[in-house]
Amino acid sequence: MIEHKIAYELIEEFVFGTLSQEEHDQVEEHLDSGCEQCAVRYREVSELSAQLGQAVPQKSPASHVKENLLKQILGESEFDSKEVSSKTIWPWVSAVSIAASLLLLFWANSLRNELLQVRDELHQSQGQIARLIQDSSVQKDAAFLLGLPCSWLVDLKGVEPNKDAFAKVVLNPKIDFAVAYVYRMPPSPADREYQLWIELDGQPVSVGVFKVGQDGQALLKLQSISDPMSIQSFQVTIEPKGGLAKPSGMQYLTGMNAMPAMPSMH
Amino acid sequence: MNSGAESSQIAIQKDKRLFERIRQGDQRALAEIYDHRSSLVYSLAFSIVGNVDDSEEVTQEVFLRVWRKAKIFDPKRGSALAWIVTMTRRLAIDRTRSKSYKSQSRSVELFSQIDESVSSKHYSNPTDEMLLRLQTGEVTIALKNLNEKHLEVINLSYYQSMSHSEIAAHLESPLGTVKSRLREAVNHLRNSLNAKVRSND
Ligand SMILES: [Zn+2]
Repeated sequence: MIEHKIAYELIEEFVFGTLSQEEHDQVEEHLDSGCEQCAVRYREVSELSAQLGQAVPQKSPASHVKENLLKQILGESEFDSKEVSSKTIWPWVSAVSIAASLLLLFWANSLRNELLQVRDELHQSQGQIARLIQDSSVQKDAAFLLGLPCSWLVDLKGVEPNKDAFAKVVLNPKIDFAVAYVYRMPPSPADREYQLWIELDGQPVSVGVFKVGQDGQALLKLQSISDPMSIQSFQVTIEPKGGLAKPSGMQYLTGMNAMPAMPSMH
Repeated sequence: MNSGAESSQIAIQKDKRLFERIRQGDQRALAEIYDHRSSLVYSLAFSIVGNVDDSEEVTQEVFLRVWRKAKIFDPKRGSALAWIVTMTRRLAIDRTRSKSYKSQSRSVELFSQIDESVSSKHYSNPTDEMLLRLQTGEVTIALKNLNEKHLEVINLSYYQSMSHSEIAAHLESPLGTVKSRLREAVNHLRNSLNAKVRSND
């Protein structure tokens, strides 16, 4: 280790960055050893250095520098949280490219913590593309149902304290699936999902689980609706991720009155 | 009223808050500190390396280190900005060395890329030239108040990134003289700049 006197003399150069690697490391080691006098000088010179630096004519770096940086740190934080499992991503991830899946992984993870602006900028657009791929196939199903002469719409209304939330379910007596549009729902917490139930013979039967993002919306296809006309009511509850066999959580939406989707044609 | 000193104090407080969030792994805070400080980092790197590619790489590396090392950053050692600037200079100068840049020609080239109109004119005195290229403000006023010898070593050491021994060779002066002159210059600058901050309080 170098003596204090030598280290002290090298602090200006240490801060300005012009020392050889060897000397640089020696001064750093001396500072790390806790020498108070050198620490004070280091602080003085480095604060001045920051002021001198601000006098250099200012230019902004190209936008790709920020993009690359953020990509890199997002990649690193994903390595840090290995517990991101396939359950946290939307089931249709397999339908999109590997690159998009990776981005979606980040996206899903960001929803779990809080929706961060950074991730929005970088990944939301990719997330939305993947979501549109999914949505467009459900949209087709919805358009198909709505195009049939005997389809029905069920209004699901928000339950306190989420009165603003609502959903529309499109179903048809002759078709074994239905489509639900959900709006103005609170974003689902990371470890929970909404579950949609139909009531048959007084018993709740699960017809699907779904997440809601910051936009408060969801579009989902309800499979295996064997006899749509025997449905007595619909409800949406919040449940542990993946859903449960019976509703246990708070109710968010409820509805039972069906009306023809296209009255004029019915 | 010195609005420059006041706004720099606000900016330093902003860095501090952002560093606290970065320490907790808040990526948005990193994006914010990037927005806040990337022009400074990039411009400073550019003034040293003199080309866009290296300046961009240095900028990215600096903020990557901010992200990775914010947890071990000790505020007692100085401001986040001072730490960032020190890191930027070190990384940029390392780059010029690994690419065996010539320190003499470097400074002329780098400034010509920043401002063609200034470099196209001819200035006989390199220190005057440096002052002309800097942004006008309290730092340039403080620099102008230095005596010629102090201004010269600050220019060579800080703005031309020359080591003490390079400066000694360049000025044909003993190394000890260069060291003491630079120390005096640093102290004079600190006094005049800090006096401004204090008068603003
Ligand atoms: Zn010491």
